[in-house]
Amino acid sequence: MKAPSPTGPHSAIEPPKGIALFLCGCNGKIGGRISLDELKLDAMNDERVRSIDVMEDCCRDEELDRMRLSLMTGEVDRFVVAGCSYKTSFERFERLAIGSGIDPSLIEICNLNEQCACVHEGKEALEKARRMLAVSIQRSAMLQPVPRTKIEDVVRTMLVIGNGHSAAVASMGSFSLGHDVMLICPGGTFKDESHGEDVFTLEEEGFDRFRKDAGGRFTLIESSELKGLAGGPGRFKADIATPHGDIQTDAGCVIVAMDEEEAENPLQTRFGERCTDQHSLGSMLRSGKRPKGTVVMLAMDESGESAFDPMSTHEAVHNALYLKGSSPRSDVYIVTKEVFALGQCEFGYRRAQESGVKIVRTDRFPDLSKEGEMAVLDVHLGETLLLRYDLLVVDNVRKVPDMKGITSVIGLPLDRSGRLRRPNAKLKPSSSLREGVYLCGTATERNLGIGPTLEAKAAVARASASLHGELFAEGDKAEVWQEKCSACLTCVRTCPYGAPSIEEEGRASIDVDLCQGCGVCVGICPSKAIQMCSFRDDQIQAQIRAALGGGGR
Amino acid sequence: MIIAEQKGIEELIGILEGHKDILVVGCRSCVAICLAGGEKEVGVLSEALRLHSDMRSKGWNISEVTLERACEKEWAYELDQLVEGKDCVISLACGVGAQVIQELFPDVRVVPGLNTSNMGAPEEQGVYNEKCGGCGDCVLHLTGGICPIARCAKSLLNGPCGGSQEGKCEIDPEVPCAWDQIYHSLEKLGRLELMDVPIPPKDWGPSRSGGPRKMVRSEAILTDEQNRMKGGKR
Amino acid sequence: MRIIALVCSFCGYASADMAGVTGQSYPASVVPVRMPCTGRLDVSHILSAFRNGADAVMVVGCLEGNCNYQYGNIEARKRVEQARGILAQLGIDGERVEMFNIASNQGWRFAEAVKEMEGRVLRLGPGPVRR
Repeated sequence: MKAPSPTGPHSAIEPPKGIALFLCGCNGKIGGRISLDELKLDAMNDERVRSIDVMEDCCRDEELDRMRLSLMTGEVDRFVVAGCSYKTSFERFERLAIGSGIDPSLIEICNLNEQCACVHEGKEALEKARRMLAVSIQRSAMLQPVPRTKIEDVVRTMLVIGNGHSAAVASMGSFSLGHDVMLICPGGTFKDESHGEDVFTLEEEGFDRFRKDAGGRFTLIESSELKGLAGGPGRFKADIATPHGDIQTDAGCVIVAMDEEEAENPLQTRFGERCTDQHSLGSMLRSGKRPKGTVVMLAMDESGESAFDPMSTHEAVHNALYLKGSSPRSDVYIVTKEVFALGQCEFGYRRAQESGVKIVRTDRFPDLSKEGEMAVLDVHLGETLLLRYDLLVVDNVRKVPDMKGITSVIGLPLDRSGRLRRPNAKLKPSSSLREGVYLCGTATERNLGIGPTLEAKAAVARASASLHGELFAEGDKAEVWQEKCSACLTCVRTCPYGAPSIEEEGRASIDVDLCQGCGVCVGICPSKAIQMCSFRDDQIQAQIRAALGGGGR
Repeated sequence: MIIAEQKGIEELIGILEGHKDILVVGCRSCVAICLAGGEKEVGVLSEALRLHSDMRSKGWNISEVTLERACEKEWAYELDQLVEGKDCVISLACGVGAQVIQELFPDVRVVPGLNTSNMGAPEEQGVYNEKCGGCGDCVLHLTGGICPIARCAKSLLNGPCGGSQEGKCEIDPEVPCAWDQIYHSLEKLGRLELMDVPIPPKDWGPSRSGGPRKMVRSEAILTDEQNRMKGGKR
Repeated sequence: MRIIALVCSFCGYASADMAGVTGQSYPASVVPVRMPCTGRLDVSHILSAFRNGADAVMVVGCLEGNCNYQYGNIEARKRVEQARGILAQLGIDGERVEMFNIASNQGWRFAEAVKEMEGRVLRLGPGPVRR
């Protein structure tokens, strides 16, 4: 019987062949404050370090050439750059590594600039730099090559899932960037309803025109549903159930562009004939008809709140402007709590005011008990205004479509209102929880605030950019050391991405396409059966010891 | 599974007084799953003890290992080499594992690092409820799949008692009344008539009242002859 | 004095960068050790830092709700709490370890956090083990 022991097959870390150390003076910014010669003397006592170069400024190309020569002696298999933040310099040194035949996962960057020379001086700075460099050399010595596989044939087809305007924009945008596009519409027939926004964005040519231009490079499949999504960026495999049978298709990225669906405003049923919604008014105006008399637009719901939906304001402003433009003597009011005028709508809002649309700010739902009359408190005047109207126009109400199918297949969470949740609007706008899947559409949590058209374009831009250059699968993801696994389900329960599952053999396994490498499972696994190649416990512990001036145990 | 929790470190430190070479032993089975005694907890406890030793200059020498299942001799025997030279084993296995280890290695003192509590199940990650009393005479078919022995504070076979209030037990408003749960379970099963059938006094013989229990599966035991005919080890 | 800062690769590391870029000053006693996310943290990392001579340990992650990996920083907070419980049993003041949630642009808060930890060490005295 072989017990799973701490000396299992995974535990040994190969000693490094040799470390090349580059001490960058950063044009005096580091070199002027910290004695690089002292650091060099320290490093010379470490037999793992085979070469040490003191550089004037690693950002210069000729210095890069010098570094390359030091890396190509055959004495070293990894290097440490003591310079500035890895956030700014990593990509540069990654290219250097690849060009010099060094595995890019064996690079370590020691930030002696922002995290040391910028903030400390004199002896203190030197002492801290010594400790930071000791940490980095220790980390470098224990790094292991991270498994990664280059994707040979990157698929560039965009798979768009959507039901309306956002999906149309995403499809057109993807096509214009050179991608083939497949658009699947889960809800039935596809309608490009622009919600009155495009007057302010102008450039759309129209979906039908696009379909003609795209010819066979655009496929629209209506009444279809995503049944499975495997793989990652550049190599997704999507299973789609269509009315003509099930199909499988390859895709580079997936853009989920679900919009909300039209629903009836309860106010409209309450006020009957004299009342319509913005959308119907828009259609009426476009067909050349004009409403008679005074038009009052009520841009709020029954609780007196303005819908936190920039599109409501867009539509009201747009329709009001249209009305005023075609019959300048008509009376048009917009009654609202707040105006959300984003982007181009700001101009429309100003033009509406200049052309005589009256905007009444109130803080509560007006009194509408008398037919044809509205008593509304104007908060700026501090008086109640009596507005007689011939037509009352209320907001469009939209409802979030049922997206449980999409969310369970792709693994995307919904927020409380049933919209798709954005994981982090600041750090990763348009991204979803799943790598290679991008989000836009009004059925997505609203926090970009740039309007659906721009959001769709943003998603396309990010998706398209992600397919440029070389793509790799795997990377530094969590890995189960199966002989230690107790199948306790802790990782399955804790992972934010649903990446771990228990395999048929009864041990956990991590789907590298879903894992994003956070290490939450590594930290919580009660059997210590999960590790990450570059953030193993023994590596972290060794760095902590090095930071405290210690060596071995 | 067996539910256990770690003893306080202060208590353990007290027990360890006078020892020097200490082996911390975990188990990858139940106690790992209830986050009490797996390799991770072995690591944390060992590190805490080393810290204590360094603080007080005790010079403790602490090593760690985690067994697949401490309750089985063959697995526990893996400690053979590791206990050599040790004067103490801290068992982060359940009470069963601790005893098996002591039995196999009678020369080393085995100290329980866990308090073994009950047979239960995780309600959610980090919350464990007792489910089974191990009475040796199961009545779950009569009680809608809910054990009155383990889950009723009084182990009533014909409940509820007068202390059941709004579905909670009188001992603690957080504790559900098992007989209330039994009622609702039977209701869902369409077997409420079982509430009217008194469960007769139970034979507590197979339970702890009959002394320590031994179960023999004669067909599984290898006969002496079989053992003689077997090649290889043991 | 020796303070270990276990920083995440996103806001933790970047806030330390930002402290440098914006010319904050803070004690040089802190040495950062980078993790992918504070969710990678293990209680034993904190314990071994003290065993190896740290006076204080700070864990620096993104603001709650803004973790690059959803909720690694919330996991980290719980693990820091757990570590405090263990330290308390060993007679070590739990204040020697602290979880900080700092956004990448809050360099000044990183500096404040280091000053705070140094202040605590000055108040509580040197760490449990001197090396």
